[in-house]
Amino acid sequence: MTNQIISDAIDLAALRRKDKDAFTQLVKADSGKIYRLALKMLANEQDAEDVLQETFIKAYKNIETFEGRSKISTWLYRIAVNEALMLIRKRKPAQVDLDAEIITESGEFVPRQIVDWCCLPEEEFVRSETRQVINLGIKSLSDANRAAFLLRDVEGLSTREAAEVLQISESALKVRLMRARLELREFLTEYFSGKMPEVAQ
Amino acid sequence: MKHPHPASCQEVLWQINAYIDGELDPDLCSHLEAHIENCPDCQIVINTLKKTIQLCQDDRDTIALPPEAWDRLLVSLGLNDEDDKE
Repeated sequence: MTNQIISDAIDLAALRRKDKDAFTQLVKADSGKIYRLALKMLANEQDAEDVLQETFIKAYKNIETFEGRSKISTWLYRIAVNEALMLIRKRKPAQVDLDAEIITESGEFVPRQIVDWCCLPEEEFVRSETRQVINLGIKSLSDANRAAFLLRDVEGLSTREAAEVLQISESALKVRLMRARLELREFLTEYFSGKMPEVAQ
Repeated sequence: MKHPHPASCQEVLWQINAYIDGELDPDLCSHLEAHIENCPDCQIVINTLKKTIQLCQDDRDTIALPPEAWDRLLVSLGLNDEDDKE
């Protein structure tokens, strides 16, 4: 449960022997971040817990396939993202891609809203309503763009690591990340624009 | 490398990720900044984009694995005997 342990410091040979102490250390080190990613991907606590369990069950079963060329947390993220995407596909039909609204057919990016809401008082940004809106915004992204955004911007992976988790090229990751960030900006701008007159009054 | 024309909003927007991540080469960065300094719209888009990312990062710290979910995870992995919960 604690994040004090760094998963890459755990003895890989012991993990490969399926040593329970070593595996417990791994679970302690990385379960929090896997749960957080799953929760943000799925927006449902039970689903996030299921993905968390499946991730570590699969990691335990398949640890010998982990070659140690990447961080072990990157490998766990990959299992978790795949599990989350499988669950999403099971639950709902293919999504309509909203990217077209922000990037035109000619490839031009057109911001829909130019409102400077950064000047709102800080307490506006820490309200629980605001947190719900942030989560709604993240949920509104396409699955592919959401995964890219969460790995890169929320979990803090490098572009190379996030691309590795999603098994795409770094340039594809950058495109997904840009779309996700810009869509989220539009989403939050819509919300915070409505707050500006209220604050001014 | 010299840039014969001033940067446009569209050029700034296409490089906006690399710009806010500090990944642009210094020459291209100053080329874009010459435009940004005089373009309130680009300034707003950049500032609100940075704030958007920051808010999502701040929100991340509010999420923790619930203790009951931790217990169930250990049981599902057969590790509950090893649990020395902190």
